[in-house]
Amino acid sequence: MNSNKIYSLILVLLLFAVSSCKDNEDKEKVPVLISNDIEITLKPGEWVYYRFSDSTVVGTGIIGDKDDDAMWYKRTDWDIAFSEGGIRTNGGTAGRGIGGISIIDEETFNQDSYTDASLLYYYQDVSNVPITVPVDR
Amino acid sequence: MTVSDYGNEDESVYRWVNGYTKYYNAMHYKAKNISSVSLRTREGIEKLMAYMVDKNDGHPGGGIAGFSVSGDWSIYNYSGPSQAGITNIMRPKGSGGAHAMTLIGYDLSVEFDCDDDGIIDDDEKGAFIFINSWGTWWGNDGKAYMPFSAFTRSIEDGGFYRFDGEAKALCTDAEYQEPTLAMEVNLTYSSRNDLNIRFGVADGAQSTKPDKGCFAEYKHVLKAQGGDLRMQGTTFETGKTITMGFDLSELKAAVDTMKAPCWYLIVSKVISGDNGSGNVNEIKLHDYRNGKDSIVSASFKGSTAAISTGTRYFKIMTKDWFKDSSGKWYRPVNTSASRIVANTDYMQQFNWNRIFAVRKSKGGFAKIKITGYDPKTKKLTFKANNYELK
Repeated sequence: MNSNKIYSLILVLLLFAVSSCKDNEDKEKVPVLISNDIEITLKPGEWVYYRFSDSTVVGTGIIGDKDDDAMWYKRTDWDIAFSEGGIRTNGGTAGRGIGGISIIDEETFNQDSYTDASLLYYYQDVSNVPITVPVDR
Repeated sequence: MTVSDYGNEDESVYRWVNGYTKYYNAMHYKAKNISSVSLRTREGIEKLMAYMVDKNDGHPGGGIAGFSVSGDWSIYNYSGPSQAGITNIMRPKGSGGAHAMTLIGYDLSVEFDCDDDGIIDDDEKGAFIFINSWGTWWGNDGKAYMPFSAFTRSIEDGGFYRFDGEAKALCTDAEYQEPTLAMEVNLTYSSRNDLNIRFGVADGAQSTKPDKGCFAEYKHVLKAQGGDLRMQGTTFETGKTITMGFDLSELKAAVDTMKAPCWYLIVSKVISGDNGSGNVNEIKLHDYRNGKDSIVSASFKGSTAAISTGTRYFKIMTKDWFKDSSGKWYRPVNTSASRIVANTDYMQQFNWNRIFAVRKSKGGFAKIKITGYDPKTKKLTFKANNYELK
């Protein structure tokens, strides 16, 4: 085989390799449902911050503490926070994420549909929501 | 209340004073002791005279005493002997008591023929000097004589009182006090004798009525007083609105033990004569316990302000703290949170019996179904359906 044919073969092989990589990158991501039963422990007068991706409690913060609120606002590693008196999500005035919440019914919960979830209206957090805390906290 | 605070005496004799400061000034003088002296006998007359000199204990200012006369009373010209120079005298005409006035002195030179027999008997000599509450235009600069015989004699013999129990004077010894707690009330009403007013206090914003046992449940500070007149005692529309003050210092001992006192103005409407109407506009609690005037107020509008038949409770919270059924205290903190899932009443336990969809911090979605919350262990359980893009 003369050198021209070898070079042509190498070129074809290279073109094929590049084409294969491009195909992989163009492959669409699909939502995968992961269901878990979760138990967390709330703390009087505190938010408990939670992340869905790895079912992890990320940390806690004192309700009404401006420094704690400012610190958690900057972070995007949490999705939702629970307290005895309410809930916050990482969006609106509580966080710089795009989080929000919507109240749904049992039927919607049981629907295994990412698309339906994406069509709901999500309310972002606002300021001056009264959250109950113990007086001796 | 002083004459200067009472104001223009030429206005209606039924006038009630308007303005909290005037009532506050009056709160500084409280009845320390009230005693009754029968004036049916000469002995009683002399006992009262001695009290008027120095309150029987060397008091430099002496004493005054209240008494009452029936609705059918009148004064007449007097031209007999007089050291005080008073030319009006009460003449016995009726019986019983419906109008209160004040005995402020006596004049032993007065001679009054109460039985019209042309003879001045020994017991027809001498008279008390009394003052009416209607102002200086009445009588002699507001004063007139009340003859001793009006008390000591029977009605048949020219006296004024049919029953022994009516012929008496009430001696009130006042003491100076600094009020510690007071309520300022601004209300509008068209027929003031419909109103019964009480006050009370309870601990915690969760309360809806005063705690039982508070003095307000048993004691009226104002009850069907003043006749079918506007609040200020006139028939004019402008007189319907009044601002009054009420001394609540008696409740200090109870309030000192409270974390979050909640004050109540209790207004009962019981129609008497004209069927009045009106509102409670604003109430203010003045707390002087720390040496300064700390004010907490509440305003009312529309249906929440209306004084209606029955009893209404108008409430001022000093703090938004509340206690739950177990007695533990809580307070609301205003912060960033989801309003759509928040309780409409912060005093209610958060409703965990719900299902949510959540848009996550960086996008994507999850659903949460709360399966349980134990307030004792603080454990929250939920089923999470999380969508991850892979």
